[in-house]
Amino acid sequence: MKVKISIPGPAKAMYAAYLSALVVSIYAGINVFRPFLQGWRYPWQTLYAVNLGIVSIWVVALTAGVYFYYDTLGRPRGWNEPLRWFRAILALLAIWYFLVSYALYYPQGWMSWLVNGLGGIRHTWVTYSITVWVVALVNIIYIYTRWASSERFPHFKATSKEEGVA
Amino acid sequence: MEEKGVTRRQFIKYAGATAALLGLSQALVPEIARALEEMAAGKPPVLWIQGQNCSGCSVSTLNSNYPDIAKVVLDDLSVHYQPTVMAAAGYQAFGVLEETAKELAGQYVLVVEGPIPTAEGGEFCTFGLEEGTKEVMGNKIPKDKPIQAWMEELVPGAAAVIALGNCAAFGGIPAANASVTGSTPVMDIVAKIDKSKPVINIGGCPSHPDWFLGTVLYYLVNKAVPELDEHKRPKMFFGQLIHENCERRASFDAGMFLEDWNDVNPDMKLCLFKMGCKGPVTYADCPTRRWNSKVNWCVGANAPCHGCAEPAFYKDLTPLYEPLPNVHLAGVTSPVETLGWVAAGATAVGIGGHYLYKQLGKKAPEGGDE
Repeated sequence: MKVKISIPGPAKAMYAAYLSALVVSIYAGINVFRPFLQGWRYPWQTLYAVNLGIVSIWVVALTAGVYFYYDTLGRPRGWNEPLRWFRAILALLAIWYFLVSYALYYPQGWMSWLVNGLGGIRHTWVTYSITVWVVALVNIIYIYTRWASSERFPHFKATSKEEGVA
Repeated sequence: MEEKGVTRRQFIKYAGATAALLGLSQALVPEIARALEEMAAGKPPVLWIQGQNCSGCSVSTLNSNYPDIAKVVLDDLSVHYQPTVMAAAGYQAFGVLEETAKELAGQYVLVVEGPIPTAEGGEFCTFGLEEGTKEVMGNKIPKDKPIQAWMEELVPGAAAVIALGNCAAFGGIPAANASVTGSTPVMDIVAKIDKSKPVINIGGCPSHPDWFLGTVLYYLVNKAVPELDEHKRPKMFFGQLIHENCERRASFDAGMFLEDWNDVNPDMKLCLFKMGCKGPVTYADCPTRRWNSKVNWCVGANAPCHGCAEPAFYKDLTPLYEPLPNVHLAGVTSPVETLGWVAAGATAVGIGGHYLYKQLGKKAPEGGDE
C-alpha cells in the first residue's frame, strides 16, 4: 500500500504564489527585454511591465527562499511530497533568476557588481535570456515529473495483478 | 576681453551657454563668468598626446562651435601640445612637452587620445626620441620614445588625466579581441604610475566635443572632478540610458520595429532594436545633446546606436547589426532563441517519450493506480 502524499497548506500556497509570480515575471521580462511581440502596445505599457516585473521577481525570490528553507532545514512534519531535492534546486534557480533579472532591470543599481562580473549589460542580457529559458523548461520538467510521481498520473495499461484498464 | 572685441553682453551670453552645456542653473552664470575670466588670465595649460588613435576625437572636438573651439584653444586654455593642430614639429614640439612637464608640474591637464600599447616594449606607438640607440639591420639608430615612457614622464605632474574617446578610456577598437599590440586603457596605465591621480574617462567613438569641453570647463570652474560613474565617466553626460530619451522610444513601446533595411519608409521612425541598436545598454546623452551643433545623431539618421560610449565597445557589442551576441556552447555558435527552442523541443520529446513509455512500454507497478 502506497503512503498517501501529504502537503501542508502553506507549502501549497507558497508554490502557487511562486509559480504565478514566475509566469508573470517571465511575461513582463519578455515584454521589456525581448520585445519580439508585434502589434500595438500603449506607450505606458513598458512602465507597467517594468513595475510588474520588479514586483513579480521579488515575489519569486522571497517565496523561493522561504520554500527552500522549509524544504531543507525547517521541514514540517508530515510533508512527504516526493522530489524534495528537485524543489530545492528549483528554489536556488529562482534566486539566481531574481539576481540576473534585477541586475538587468537596474544595471547601475546595487547589483552592478553582477553586471560587471558577467561582462557588461549586454552579456547580462544574454545571461538573462538563457536563464529565462532554463527556468521555464526546468519548471515545466518539474511539473511533469511531479505529476508523473503523483496518484493522479494516469495508467491506461493493465497492472501486473489485474487485467483490463485501470 | 574688451581688447579682443568681446562685449560684456557677448561674454555673459558665452557664460550662459557654458552653464547650459554643463547642465547648471542660470543663477550660476556670474560664477562661471568669474571662472572664465580667471581662466583667460591664467590660461590653464593642457598637454594633449595621442596613442593608438585615429585622431577622430581631435577632429570631433574641433567641430565644437559653441563654445567656439578656436576661442577655447587659444584664449581660455593654453594648449601646449596637440599633434593634430599644432604648427610645431620635431625637437621644438617635444621640447615644449618636456618643458611643460618640468615647469608647470601639478598644474597642467593631460589629455590622452587612444590607448597605450604595452607589448614589445611599447614600440607600436612612439613619438620623439629617448636617450640611447637601438640596432636595426646592423645600423645603430636613435631610440624611439614609446608613449608608455611619455606617460611615465607626464602623469606624475598632471593635475588630472582625461582619457578622451572610447579607445583611450576603455581600449576600444585597438584592444578588441586578440590585441597583438597589448593595447591598455589609459586608466590602467595611470593606476600603475600613480593610483591617486584623478582620471576622467570620456567615452564615445568619437567623443562629443561638449563632453570634453564641458568636463574641462567643469574642472576649471569648480576646481574639482565632476561626479563620475563606476566607469569614471562624468555622470552629467553619461548618466542616462540612450533608450530612455530616444526619439524612437514610442515605437519601441508600441512594438513597432524595423525588420528590414529595404522595405520600410525611413520616415516611419521605427525602433532599430532588432537591427542591432545598443541604445538600451548605452549610457550617454546623445538623444538630447545631438551632434554637429545639435543637427542630428545616429538614430536620428536611421543608424542604430553602436554603444560607443560603453566600456563594452567594440569587442562585446559586436556584431553591430545584431540585437544580442550569439552564444558559444560546446563548439556551437547560435542565437539564444535557437538554443532555447532546441532545448524546448528536447524537453517536449523527453516528456512525451516518458509519458508514452509509462503508458505503453511498461506495466504500472503493483499496488493499484500508481
